[in-house]
Parts: sequence; C-alpha cells; structure tokens
Amino acid sequence: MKAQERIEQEVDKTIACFDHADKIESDPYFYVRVMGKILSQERQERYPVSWLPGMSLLRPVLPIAIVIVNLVTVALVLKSEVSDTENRETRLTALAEQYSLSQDVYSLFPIKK
Amino acid sequence: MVKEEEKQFVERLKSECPGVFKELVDLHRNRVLNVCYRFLHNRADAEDVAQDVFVEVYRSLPEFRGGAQLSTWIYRIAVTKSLDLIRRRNRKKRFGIFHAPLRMEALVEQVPAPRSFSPIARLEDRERSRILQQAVDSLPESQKTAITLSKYEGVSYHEIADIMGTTVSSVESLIHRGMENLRKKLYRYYRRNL
Repeated sequence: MKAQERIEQEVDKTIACFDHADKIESDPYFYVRVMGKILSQERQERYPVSWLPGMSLLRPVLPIAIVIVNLVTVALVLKSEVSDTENRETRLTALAEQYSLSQDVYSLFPIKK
Repeated sequence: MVKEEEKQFVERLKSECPGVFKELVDLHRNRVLNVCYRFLHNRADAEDVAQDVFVEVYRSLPEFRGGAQLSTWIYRIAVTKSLDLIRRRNRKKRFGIFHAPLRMEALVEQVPAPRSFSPIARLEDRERSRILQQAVDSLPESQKTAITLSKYEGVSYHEIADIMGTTVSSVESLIHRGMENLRKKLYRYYRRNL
C-alpha cells in the first residue's frame, strides 16, 4: 500500500512538471536567418540550375559528343601522319637531286614506309 | 490582438509594408520556437523548423483568408512542420538497415531508472521532466498534440481546436484520454523502476 502511494506521489510530481517546463529563447539573428532562407528560395526559383530548355536531354548527349570528337581527332592525326611521310619522301628525292647525292649516301637515309 | 486590428495588420502584411513582417516574426517567434521544441526536444531542430514556419507564413500570406486567427494559423503550420519532421525521422529509422523498429512506447521503457533519487531537487525535477516528455512522446499523435499545446504552451482549448482542425469537445476528450494514458504509462514506469 505504501509503495502504491509512493508511486502515485511520483506520478503526480512528474505530471506537475508541465507547469514549470523550461522555455527557450530564439536566436538574436532569427529574423535574419528567416529572411536568408526566403531570399535563397526566391533566388533558386528565379534561376534554377536547369534553366536552359532541354538541359536534361543534353546530359546523355554530352559523353557521346566527346567520344565522336575524340574519334575525329584521332582520324585527322593519322591522316596527317600519312601525308607527312609522303611529303618527306618527295623532299628527300628533290634534295638528293639538287645536291647530286650518290645512291650510297642517299641510301644512308632510307625512307621508312 | 483585436479582430479589427488583426485584419489591418494582415492587410499591411499582404501589402508588404516594410518592417511589418519583422513585427510578425518578433511577436510570434518565441512561442513558435517553443511549440517546435516541445515536439522535437532539440534546440537546433526547433530553430530550423521555426524558421521554416515563418518562411511558409511569408510565402502563403497571399492565400491567408483570415478565416482563423493569424496566430492560430501560424501555430498550425508549426505543429504540422514539427510532426512532419518526426514522421520523416521515424520512417527513416523504420527503414534503416541497422535500426530496429523504434516505437515511442519502447523509449519510455528504456528510460533507465535513477539508482537513487538525488538530494538536489532540481536534478530530480529535470529527471521527472525527461520522463514526462518521453511519456508524452509515446502518446498517439493527436493526444500528444493536444496535451503539448495545452499543458506546455497554455493554448486555449478553442485555439487548439482551430489549430488541429477539430471541435472543442473533441479537444477536451483528447486531453482527458491523453492524461489518463499518461498517468497509466507513468504508473507502469514507476512501478517498474522505483
């Protein structure tokens, strides 16, 4: 019986805590922070990240375009190398003729094909 | 604020008179913050939610028709936002891989019993407040809302009814049933731990 009374007392004391619950005070910069949030939301609405029409469509196209540009570059480089070899051969022949170089000397610089 | 005064204040708010919104924030910020704090029990979260409440107020002002009191409308937003955050967190906990389903009921049972009551009354009070707060948290959402607003914040039954979108008699019933539940929970807790 005594234990029950003690429990009841403790329950009453606990419920009485409603009356003296701590109150908290807001931050002195509360209003500034609220205005900051409002402005940042307004800015986001005015200038959203995907402001360009069809920006989402462009996203998968971009890597494909990069691959194509790379392939074209490689093809151009290879082509210019081939034409370089041809030019070199012509220039060496002209040089040999101009300076009357013998076949022996000429053969010292074999043309790689 | 008298109804006519409030009407004029809302008109000034809507016409974006400089300084009026600040006046509104200054008037309600502490009460809104405390309402949020009663639900969230964390100062940082309460500050964040209270700020969001005023952002929402600012953005929804054009749609405010004046059907309810301005303060009631603001507290309704505060309660809704706080409960939303709790629901989101509970959902996260429930679906978290490493988190066992956590019910508020279980929290009350988890409160460790004080080994011996401290002779310092303040410490005792703090401990009791903590137990009470967890017991309130374990109540069904509507009872918790009604009791929090009424017992902690001293909001009138009429205003609670407006905030919760219900009638005064159902608020009375919610608080009555809530207090009964609270007593039972606390009784069980102390029987186990005293």
